[in-house]
Amino acid sequence: MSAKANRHDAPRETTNEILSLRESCQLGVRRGTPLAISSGLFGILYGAACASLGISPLLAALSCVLVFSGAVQFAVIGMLSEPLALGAITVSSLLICNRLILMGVSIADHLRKQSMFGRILSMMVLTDGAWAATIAEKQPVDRFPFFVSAGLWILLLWVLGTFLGAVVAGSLSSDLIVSLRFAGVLFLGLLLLLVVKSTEIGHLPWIVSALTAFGASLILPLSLAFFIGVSVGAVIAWFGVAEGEENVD
Amino acid sequence: MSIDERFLIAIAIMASVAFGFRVAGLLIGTYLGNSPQLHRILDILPTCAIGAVLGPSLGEMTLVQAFALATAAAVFWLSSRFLLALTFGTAILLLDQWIVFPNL
Repeated sequence: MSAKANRHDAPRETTNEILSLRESCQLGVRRGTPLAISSGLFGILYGAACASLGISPLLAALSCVLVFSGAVQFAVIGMLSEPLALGAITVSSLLICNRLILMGVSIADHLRKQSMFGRILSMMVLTDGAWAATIAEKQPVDRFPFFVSAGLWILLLWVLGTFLGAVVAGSLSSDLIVSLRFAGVLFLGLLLLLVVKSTEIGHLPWIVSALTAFGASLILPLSLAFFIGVSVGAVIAWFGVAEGEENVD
Repeated sequence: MSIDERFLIAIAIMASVAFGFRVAGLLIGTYLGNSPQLHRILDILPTCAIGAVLGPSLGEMTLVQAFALATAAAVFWLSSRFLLALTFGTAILLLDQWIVFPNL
């Protein structure tokens, strides 16, 4: 961000006055930049994977705009064989996207000042990154423009990355794409740390969730392991453990 | 059916589910009470969901992937820089692919 914008930020931090619409948008873009760049890199992998199936770059980019959920998009491109497995695609979408409900519930309280129509429309850009950036922000921002601008910025680079990946797919080796799939786990893990480090949310609930889901996944289907993990984490959260107070760039 | 037609149908399903879940969450969150404890729980739940997504993958990690994850987490914890941490982790994955164990 520019020096001018930084000068704007400084006095607000001390007076606690809510940032203007423009400043909130600028800060949203600034906070969203590392997440947007990461999304753009994943977009390249996604675009390359789409191109390897013969999907056109424009259609791959369209899927990013309309779905904007990398996990389900990656999962479903492996299910496009003939005849189309509609049931498998639907069930996978339901299972993978269900954390969006929790993020929607969580972000709702931060967007209350906006009209219902605006809030519903803004859900087009609700994704892990935009949610994490909004929840983690400690400056007195106007949350709605902050959230929307961060989300749109992440979406833009996700779409551009996908288009680029689809166009240059021939120069990426399949081994490289497989190897970088794990970067998705890195991304989610860092998002988790971003939120935990920037808020009063403690470590215990998510650690218990992860360990429970891991243990359950050894004997149960993944979807069931996921629900058990979240449920146990929710019980731990209910009894409350708060820690962590640090700003994050 | 061509691959583009199949993909369009898949997009329609994914988009409906994803947007439906987002809006459902928004509506549930909007009409829940204003209890501070409840909202604190609601902020924690998505981290539990991410943890529950990550948990099973952690059990299937290779040593290099575990090292990449630990390095990324350590870099982020020390520097608070998201992109730097992700770059370190990804660099380890690429080194593993191209230099250290290129044939594995």
